[in-house]
Amino acid sequence: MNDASRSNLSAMILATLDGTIQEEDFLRINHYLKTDPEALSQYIDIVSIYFNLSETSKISTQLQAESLEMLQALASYERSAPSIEIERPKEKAESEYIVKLKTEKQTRTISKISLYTAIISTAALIIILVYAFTHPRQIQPLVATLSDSINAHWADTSVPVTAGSDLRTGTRMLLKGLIKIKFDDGAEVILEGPSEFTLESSKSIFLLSGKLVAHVSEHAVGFMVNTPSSSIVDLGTEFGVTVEADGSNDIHMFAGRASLIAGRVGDKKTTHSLEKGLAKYVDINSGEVTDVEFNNSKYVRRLDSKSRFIWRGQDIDLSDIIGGGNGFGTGLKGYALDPFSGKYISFPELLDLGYLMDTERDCIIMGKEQYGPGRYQEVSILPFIDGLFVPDGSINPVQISSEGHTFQHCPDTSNRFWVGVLNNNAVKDGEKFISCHRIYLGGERYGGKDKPGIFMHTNIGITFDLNMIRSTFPGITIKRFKSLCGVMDLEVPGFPEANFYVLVDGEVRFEAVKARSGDAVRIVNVAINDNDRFLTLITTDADGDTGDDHCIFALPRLELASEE
Amino acid sequence: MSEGMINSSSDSSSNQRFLRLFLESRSQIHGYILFLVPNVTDAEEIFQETAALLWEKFQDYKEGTNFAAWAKKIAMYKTMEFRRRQPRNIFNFDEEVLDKIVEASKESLNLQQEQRRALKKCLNKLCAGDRNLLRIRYEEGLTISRIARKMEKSVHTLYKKMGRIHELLRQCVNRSLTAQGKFE
Repeated sequence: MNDASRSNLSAMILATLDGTIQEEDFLRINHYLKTDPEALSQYIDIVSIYFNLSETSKISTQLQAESLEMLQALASYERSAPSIEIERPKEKAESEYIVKLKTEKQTRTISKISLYTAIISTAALIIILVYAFTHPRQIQPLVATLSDSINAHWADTSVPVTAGSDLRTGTRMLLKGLIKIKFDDGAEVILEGPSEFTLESSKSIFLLSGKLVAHVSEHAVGFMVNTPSSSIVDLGTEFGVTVEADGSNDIHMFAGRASLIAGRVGDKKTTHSLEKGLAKYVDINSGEVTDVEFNNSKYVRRLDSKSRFIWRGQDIDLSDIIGGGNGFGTGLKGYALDPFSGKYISFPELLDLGYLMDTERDCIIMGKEQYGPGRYQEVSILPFIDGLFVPDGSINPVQISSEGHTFQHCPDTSNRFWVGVLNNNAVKDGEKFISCHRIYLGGERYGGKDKPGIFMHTNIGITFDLNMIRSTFPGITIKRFKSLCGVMDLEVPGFPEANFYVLVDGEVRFEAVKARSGDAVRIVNVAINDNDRFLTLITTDADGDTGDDHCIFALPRLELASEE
Repeated sequence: MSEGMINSSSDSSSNQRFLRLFLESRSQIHGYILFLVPNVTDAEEIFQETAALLWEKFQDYKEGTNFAAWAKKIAMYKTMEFRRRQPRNIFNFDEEVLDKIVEASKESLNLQQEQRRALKKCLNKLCAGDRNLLRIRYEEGLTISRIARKMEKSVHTLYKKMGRIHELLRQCVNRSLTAQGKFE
């Protein structure tokens, strides 16, 4: 065996001692020890060195001051315990017995061991000594790191609160706020205050009360979340747990699989399998497990203190992004993006363009058609929007992204557009909102906070930058673009026809051609891969006329998932 | 085990004998168990059970005989009992391997004191970086995965590094014991 092989074998032996060895490596060691005397000798030496290094790091003898204090405390307890009569030797007179004892006292050297055994029962002393050598008095082991937090307030103000702080085993109470803990074995847990929890080891946590989400990669399979009424063993998954005041708890599975062991300590246990999209409730008194409604937005699943990003599983609202928001409701309504400038167009500017307004009803009654700029206009004011354009297949190529992607089969259009891209159905004028239209699609009204929509009168296109979104929200992936689309229900009769397209990096992934007002609402469901960069939404006139082509993408959203 | 009883003078003497013998042999017993069950946590559990049984069976020990040898028999009994409790544990050595380990460990266990003295000198011969790594691992008790994270290296790389350092110590200790005539 050469030096490298010997070092490798030593490494495997150390991993075995630590309990981190892989099965195939342990079988290899077993084989070496059986067949190679040199390997056997090396094994003995390495284990000896490991043991000796560990021993010399512990307290060297039980007669350390700390042990003495512990023994004295126990002795004090024993002295106060009820006494038991000692049977005296029958044949000795009392006076002789006492004289003998006095004599012994004068001549005997009292060792510390004899002192201890005189005042403490031996059984208790054995327990103390064995415990002292197998659990040396060192501080509790480090098992995790506090990797992030937002507005965290702790009951114990001595708890480390800065990101990067090492955490030892023990119980803590988070009064409010959010924390993210990364365990040494790889699992990640987000806790939401108020919560009380115990870090038990590098692969388990006990939730006494409150809420947590555990995210466990395949490397940390076997991570356990224990509660007063159950244990959940992670099999490579993400799930949320809430423990109520009485100790009952529910579990919501966001991804993967887990095993639920229901029942209190000492009670009979039942085992249940947990799958994605399901939720269960465990009653602490009966141990009964029942199905409950899965709630995708109950828990904080991702947080990032730098960007103040808190994700509860909600989708990204593209209408919110047009309003200057981050997709999670921070944007404003009433904004129109102009394909000429790549900026917001104000209502006074629309009036300058010739828009007519009904001042009593605060709404636009007549807009004005314009010719498009004939080029792709990048948008610099909003990081998640790449650009805008007026699509016309007769002006080739139709560029649809800043990287040069094009819409290959764009139909010919009139190259004219109205108002640009609106976030919902109104344009702000100072403090007022000037509505353009009441947006109805399939009998439902869109354009409000709860039912957002993007109003895209033909002919117009807008491209979103998915990479910017991904880099802003760490730990999540974009899985799908979902939306409804159609030509708005009209208040006055008309037969507008329009085409709807959804492209990803220039490739058409959805199209609805010659859609008419009153048609069934189209459902858009486009899968997004991690490598997809640009998402483009386009509306074009289908009959050479843009009149009344009130197109809407309703509930336009990016569906998200936790990163694996 | 009887608890809460105040000892008579004869019991106290027996207790003292046990404690003296146990403390003298403690390191050999614990080290022996670790050879057989090379997992620190499992070895500690077996050691605690062994200590309790040694006390319980102390009246069977023949005064003047080799206490450590007697204790190791009980330790082996407890080790086999532990293995039987975990029939599906794949991290148990074959019985053939156990026999080889028992035989090969005899000399090492008898030289524990000499090994520790040699080890102390060999530690001083390591470079400061290697010594520091051992200190963080053994004195501060950080796991390899935690150290790897702090050093921004993989766990595999850290174990390789630790393996190299332990191999250096092994060779140094063996050279020292050979020079003293302790090894053949």
